[in-house]
Amino acid sequence: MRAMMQGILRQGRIFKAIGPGLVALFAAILPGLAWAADVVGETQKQATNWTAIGMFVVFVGITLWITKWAAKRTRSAADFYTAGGGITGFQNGLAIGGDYMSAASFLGISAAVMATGFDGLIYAIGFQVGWPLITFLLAERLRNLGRFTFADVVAYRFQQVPVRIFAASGTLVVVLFYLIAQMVGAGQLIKLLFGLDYIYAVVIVGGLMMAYVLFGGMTATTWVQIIKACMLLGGATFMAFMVMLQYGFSPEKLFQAAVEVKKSGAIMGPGGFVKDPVSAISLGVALMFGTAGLPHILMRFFTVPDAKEARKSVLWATTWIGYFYVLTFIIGFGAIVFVSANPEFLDDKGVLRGGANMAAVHLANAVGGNAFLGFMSAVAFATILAVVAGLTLSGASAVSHDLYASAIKKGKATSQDELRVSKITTVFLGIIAVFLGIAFEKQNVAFMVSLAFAIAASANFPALFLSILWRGCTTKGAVIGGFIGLISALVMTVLSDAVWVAVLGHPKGSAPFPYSSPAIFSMPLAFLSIWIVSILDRSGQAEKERQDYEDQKVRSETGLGAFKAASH
Amino acid sequence: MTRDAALIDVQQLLKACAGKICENLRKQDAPMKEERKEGDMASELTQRIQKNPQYQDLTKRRDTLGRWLAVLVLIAYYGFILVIAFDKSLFATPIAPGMTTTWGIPAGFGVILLTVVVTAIYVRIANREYDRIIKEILDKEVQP
Repeated sequence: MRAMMQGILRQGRIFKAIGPGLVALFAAILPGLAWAADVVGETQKQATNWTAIGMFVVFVGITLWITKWAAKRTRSAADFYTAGGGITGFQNGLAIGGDYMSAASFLGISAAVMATGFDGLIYAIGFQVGWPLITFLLAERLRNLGRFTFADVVAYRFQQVPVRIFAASGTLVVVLFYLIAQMVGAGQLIKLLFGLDYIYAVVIVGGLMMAYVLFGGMTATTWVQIIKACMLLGGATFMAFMVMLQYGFSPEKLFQAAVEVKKSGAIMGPGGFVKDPVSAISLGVALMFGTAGLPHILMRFFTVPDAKEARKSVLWATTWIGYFYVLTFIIGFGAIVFVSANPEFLDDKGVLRGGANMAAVHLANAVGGNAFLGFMSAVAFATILAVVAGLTLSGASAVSHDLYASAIKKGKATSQDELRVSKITTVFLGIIAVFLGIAFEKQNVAFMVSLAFAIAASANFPALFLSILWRGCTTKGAVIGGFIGLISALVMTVLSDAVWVAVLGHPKGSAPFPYSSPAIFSMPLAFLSIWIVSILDRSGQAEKERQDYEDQKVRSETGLGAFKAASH
Repeated sequence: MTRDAALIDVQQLLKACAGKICENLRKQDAPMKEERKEGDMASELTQRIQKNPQYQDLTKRRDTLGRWLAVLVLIAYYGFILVIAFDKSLFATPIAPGMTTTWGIPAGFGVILLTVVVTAIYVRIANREYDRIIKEILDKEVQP
């Protein structure tokens, strides 16, 4: 314990030394400000909402009580990473949903539907279509081969050190971009919903997320995600039900009313969301394959006892997430009818109070009154907490399991040491998240979620896919090709409109990369690089790795020798 | 048996026990090592399983099913996107004259429904049938 505290203090000192430098760096490279559909943009502070705060306090109370219970069960590294492997498929399906359905997608997509109708649906579908691929290609194979992180699977027959360094980089980059977007969104949202200052909101989110992960590990994180998924699905169902009730459960009547309010039928067909075919397909590629490369999602497949439960969990996840997007669409159309024309929710200029992303929140007020508004606000807060806890746990595992235990200690670290490192990393990540959340308050973070997906699709997914399914893949191929995918996705995003113009402030139309997502180029580039480097790799090590494929394949197909759930 | 020989036997037994305990301790602390060791021992077993006709049949059927369902999802989704990219008016057409609901709505919800349906088909077949076959293969090939 003392060593741990010293470790934290040491980390803290390093952090203090580099902290201000980082702020200056980020402030220098990321000026600019804008709004986007996938994160919560700049908002105005609202009057303090005591109902919402009360409901949120109840949620926090319950989750902290669960964390206390979970802390007693979190003794080993296995407990910390996988909740002992005893989560059922149904529970894990809900938890995956809780990990995946972010506040940004709930508020962002319903707002996009309110603004553009059908176009919002196109965006939602992109988030849905990756799930069957995870089912057919990855879920059971991951469970059969891995133990704690997706790097376990990639590194199964490869050299540990380079593969672990690559996988940890892929994980940390994705987690960090995703986390920044969530923290900034959280601050804006809470300022708006609860009337709290931005900085308090970010500190509360960071503090609670640290508490869940630090003390309760995967057990607490899982239950926070399950509770949040139930609250979100329950609340959204009620809203969609109330909207449909008004129209006798006839979608046609709802659409008619919406077209009447908008005074145009344009919302019923595709509009400006898809500008050029290349961008459209590229975004589709990023969302579809990115889902299959998100480290915090992949990690969830190790919390179930076997392949059967892994399959069940992905089926439940697909079902709940698909249902959620259907609800979001109905809520968006409900907002057109009940919110966009209602002067109660508009300011003097006829703009939605609190910003465009408030569509679903105002609708909650319109269909369920102030108490329900408070409930949905608490749900939005809980949603952010569940997502950031999952991300933090995934980032901490990458550092403690992949970098510390596997790359540095070569698998000789004790469970207790590994656990200690993951806890220190959790504290460190929590502080970084709060600090970046504050540093990016006024920045445009719109590109970060799509960047996280693009990197997951271009780095993590190709390496994982080929290492599992292609005998010829070698360490060199996976690592070099994976890094090429990571870097190319990053560079192309920086050179695209979303960063070059919207963030860096270059003149409109000057972006060197003309498309809105890099994935259609960076993902095939990664596949190609892995393939070329692997076939050119004629070393003895590469030959051994190809031979080891047979054992790996049989294990991935049959679960022979797969890690069993830790028993208590 | 002489006294010395017996003593050596006991010594060896103790050594073996100590070795076993150490190994168990190592197993708890260093999972990577355990994995490596299992891997080496599995080689012969791997060959046996790969020669098993039931296994060959299973992997072939499973790969075929997974591939076709994946292709179905890819065609549905990218078809949906391509229609939007190249012929927006198709999805903006009402499904019947005088109606507000356009073809885009059933198409979009159809894609969402399809993802759930294909996942359910695969999971049902895998959990009912494939798992049973895998158990049969392992029961047969893995001798205690």
